[in-house]
Amino acid sequence: MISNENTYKLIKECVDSLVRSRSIDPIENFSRETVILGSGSDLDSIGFVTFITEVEDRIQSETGEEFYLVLNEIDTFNINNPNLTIGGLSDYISATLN
Amino acid sequence: MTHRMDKLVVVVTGTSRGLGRSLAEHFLNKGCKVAGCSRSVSTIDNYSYYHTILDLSSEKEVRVWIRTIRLQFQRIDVLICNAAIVQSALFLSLTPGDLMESFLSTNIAGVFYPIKEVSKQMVSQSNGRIIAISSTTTAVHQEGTSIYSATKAAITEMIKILAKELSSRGITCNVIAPAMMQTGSSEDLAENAHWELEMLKKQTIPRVISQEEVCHVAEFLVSNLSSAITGQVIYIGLSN
Repeated sequence: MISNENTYKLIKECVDSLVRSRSIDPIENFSRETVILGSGSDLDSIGFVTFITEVEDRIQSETGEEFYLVLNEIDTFNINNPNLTIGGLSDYISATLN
Repeated sequence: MTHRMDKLVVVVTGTSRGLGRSLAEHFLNKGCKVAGCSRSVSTIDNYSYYHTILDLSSEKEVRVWIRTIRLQFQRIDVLICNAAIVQSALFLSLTPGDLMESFLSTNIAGVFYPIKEVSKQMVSQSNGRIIAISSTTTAVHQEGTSIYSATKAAITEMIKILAKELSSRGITCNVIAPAMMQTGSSEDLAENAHWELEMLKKQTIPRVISQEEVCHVAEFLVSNLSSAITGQVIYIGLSN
């Protein structure tokens, strides 16, 4: 079990860690509405791959749960809304793990 | 000309026999740690070799396998996608649909899933080498290999695009395409001597290629000597 709040916090920790190690560029104005994949994202494609790998690994190490991101399973990310936000990812992770 | 190979973590698919087994043993002899897989039990006895029985066309099984390797070794330096089926010498008009499907799942999905998972690790570590084993049948357009060659051509295109996608993270992606080799698979294909002779006639160097020759090319592509070579197809035994 992981709360929405803790999932959001975990995502923030992943971003901070990757920025510190210069693996990704900083994300301006980090919030639930921030786009991380799609138009306006501060992450390029390879940066998004790096970010998602870090999220998957951190969830595994902190919760012991196997988690793999499957983009087409995220309800809020689709052909009509091709922008994935921090909030959308956070909700998806929480729903998947719980 | 020297280069260090020891301590590298090398992942090879299809290691129970043939070229995959030779590649695994080659890198073990160089001091690497090798993680291999096949649908059957291990045929390699070495303390630095770790074997997993799995179906490469299963995304879930491949995810778990690669994550296990990552947790065990903390890194993956090299991925060699070798596993493939070569079980038909039928003209396309005679090729059963289910055979075509099995070619797609083993020869394409069985390369796609390991690359998908391993490349994420390599992106995180900003380093890596990805090698796919293809064949010269794609270049000579050998009759009777329409589906097999189509899958190998697909892999070549996949690797060439991947090379561009991953170049900014210091990851190289290349293809080795050997001509006729002595492996269990090619012997299955060349059940009749006539077919083998036809293949040899089309090669620039008209002899059977040894597995050792392929291993040497793989070693070069793994080494630092080839760090600026990516998106290439290295043909062995054929000029193209």
